[in-house]
Amino acid sequence: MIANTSPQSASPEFSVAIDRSLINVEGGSVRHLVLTVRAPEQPQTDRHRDPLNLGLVIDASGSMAGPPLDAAKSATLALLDRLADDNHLSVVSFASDVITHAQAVRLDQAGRKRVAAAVRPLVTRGNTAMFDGWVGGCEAVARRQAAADATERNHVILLSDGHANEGECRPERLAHHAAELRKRGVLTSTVGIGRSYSPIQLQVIAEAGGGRMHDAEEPNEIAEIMFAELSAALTTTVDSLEFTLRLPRGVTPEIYGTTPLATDAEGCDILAGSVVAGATRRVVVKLAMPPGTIGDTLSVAVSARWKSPSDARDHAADLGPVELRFDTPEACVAQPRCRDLAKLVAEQWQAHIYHRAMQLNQDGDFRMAVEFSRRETRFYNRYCADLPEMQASVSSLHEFSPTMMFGYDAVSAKEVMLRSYKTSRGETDHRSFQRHTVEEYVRDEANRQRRQ
Amino acid sequence: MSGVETESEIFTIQELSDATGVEPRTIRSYVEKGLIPGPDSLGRGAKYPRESLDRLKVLQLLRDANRGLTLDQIRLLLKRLGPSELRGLADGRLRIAALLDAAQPTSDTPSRSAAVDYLRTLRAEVPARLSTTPHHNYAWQDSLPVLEEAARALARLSGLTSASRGVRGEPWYRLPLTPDIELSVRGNFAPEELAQLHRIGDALRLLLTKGPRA
Repeated sequence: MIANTSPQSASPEFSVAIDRSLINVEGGSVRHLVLTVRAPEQPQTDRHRDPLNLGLVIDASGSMAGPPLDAAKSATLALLDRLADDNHLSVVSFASDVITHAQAVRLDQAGRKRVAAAVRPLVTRGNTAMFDGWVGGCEAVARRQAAADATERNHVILLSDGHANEGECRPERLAHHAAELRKRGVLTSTVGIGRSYSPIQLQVIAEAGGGRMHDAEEPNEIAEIMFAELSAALTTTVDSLEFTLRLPRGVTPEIYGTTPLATDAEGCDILAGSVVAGATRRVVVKLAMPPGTIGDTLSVAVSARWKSPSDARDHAADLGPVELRFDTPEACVAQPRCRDLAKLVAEQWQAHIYHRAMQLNQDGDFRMAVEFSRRETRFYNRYCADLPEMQASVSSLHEFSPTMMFGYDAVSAKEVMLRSYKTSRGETDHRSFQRHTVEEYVRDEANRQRRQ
Repeated sequence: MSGVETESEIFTIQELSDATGVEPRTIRSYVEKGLIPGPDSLGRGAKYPRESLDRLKVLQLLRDANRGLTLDQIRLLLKRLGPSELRGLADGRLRIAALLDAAQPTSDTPSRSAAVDYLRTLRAEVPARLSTTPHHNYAWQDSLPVLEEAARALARLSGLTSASRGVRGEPWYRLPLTPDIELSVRGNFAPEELAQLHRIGDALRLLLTKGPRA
């Protein structure tokens, strides 16, 4: 089903689909709702694009000394040449303290020189007060936002190579503040630098903050990642996309992937975030069904809300109801399903298993990680039984489950989580040189564990 | 609505449910989320005020309007309604669409200062933690008066009237003052002299980060 909200203007295209519409009268059915959005192409020329009010927050803790900080500074200086005169740039660094090197400087010729002069002397110092640094960067951007007399894209890019170890560190609180700032028009994207940063802290800020998370393992990747993020910020045509599902009583939702989900008594809100021009974003929602009476129907009402950076307005669309009908167990088993849709579900499901299990593994909850991946793999195997193209992924998951009993090394864990995060969001990995696949990381880890 | 509620203006949760079609568990969740006023007591016989019924009706109308409003946005809309407006909407005398259209700019588009206000509140809530991480702004225009004051103070202390240049071949001694400023002194220093240099460095650091003492 396609619902165009405003055919005369550049609107996102939405589709809502369910893998099977019959549900078991005895209860226990699991169905997958696939919400898809394709962001419209950029409606205006670059000349007329809203200016950017950008905040760069740079980790200057001791571990960034040498090539990482040099690369971050070089990337910032190179960025100055890529931004037009009507953009504003703030630069904040953090370690044990927070320093605002440039506060919403307009990037005309004098402004560029001023920012360059402020960034060049930046040196490393102390611990990782990431939260305070990020708040400092948001403040610089928010002050400009409050003073601006025209619409601008307010965006913060946070670069860090470590775990926040001063100030607020709890992922749920970081997500809360990021979401509140997003609702107030300040978005945040994050860049993890090196091999030992905290993927969870940076991920929750980016997800709840309506931006994207990137990895720049090598210093020479920092510039290309920053440019890619800048390009994404400038070409985003759908911001703060949120789906709302109104669910019948007894229907329980769960998201595949890491997309934030908030439930209430009547349904749930799903934050899909920003989508760049022409890109497609999918969200797969797993729905556990209650028992019922043959012939009765359950209706799931779906709506969407988003912001359009081009006109700075909020938009909403009713995407209509999805009907499910109770039937006998035999009829449910016999009903056909769309293979392409099932394959989409399987890809997201696999990414979900990798990500969730690895998160548990990194939290040290090895037993739960094994149990989760084994249980999910069993159901996944059954779901993919008639999908020959997904059999390799089933084998990979079978190999993955036992490795969850021991702690992964930081690089492998980070890569597995990052890949599954990118897969679940349909985002591109902008890093220049090729890494292993998730399957290769798992295999290497299995071999390492066997040797020990 | 009068200040004293009569028996006919208080309701059990089941009566609220019957009047609106909203399930009791959903009503309880609305109370928990602050969307409607809670009962005056606990237990099965708990009574809800008339305002709970009115708010519940308006809340349902807002959800049925299918504008994709989140519960947070509905809470903000309900909060702005006065008693007569609330009653009018609940009774159907006022149109819910008019309320939504009138509220569109404020309910959907936060003001430009909303993020600044949020961050200000955040700083106020956690002053102890954030104040341990000083927030400096090293724009050179800001630092210059402090540096001039420091130079004057040091000149007064030392009786120095003109700067003498160091002698080539002597080593540099470097004292980091702030992340951006370093004091470099050339010469061979005895330990006592070095201790004094450190004291000067400490004083300069204080002047640069805190400003001159009032």
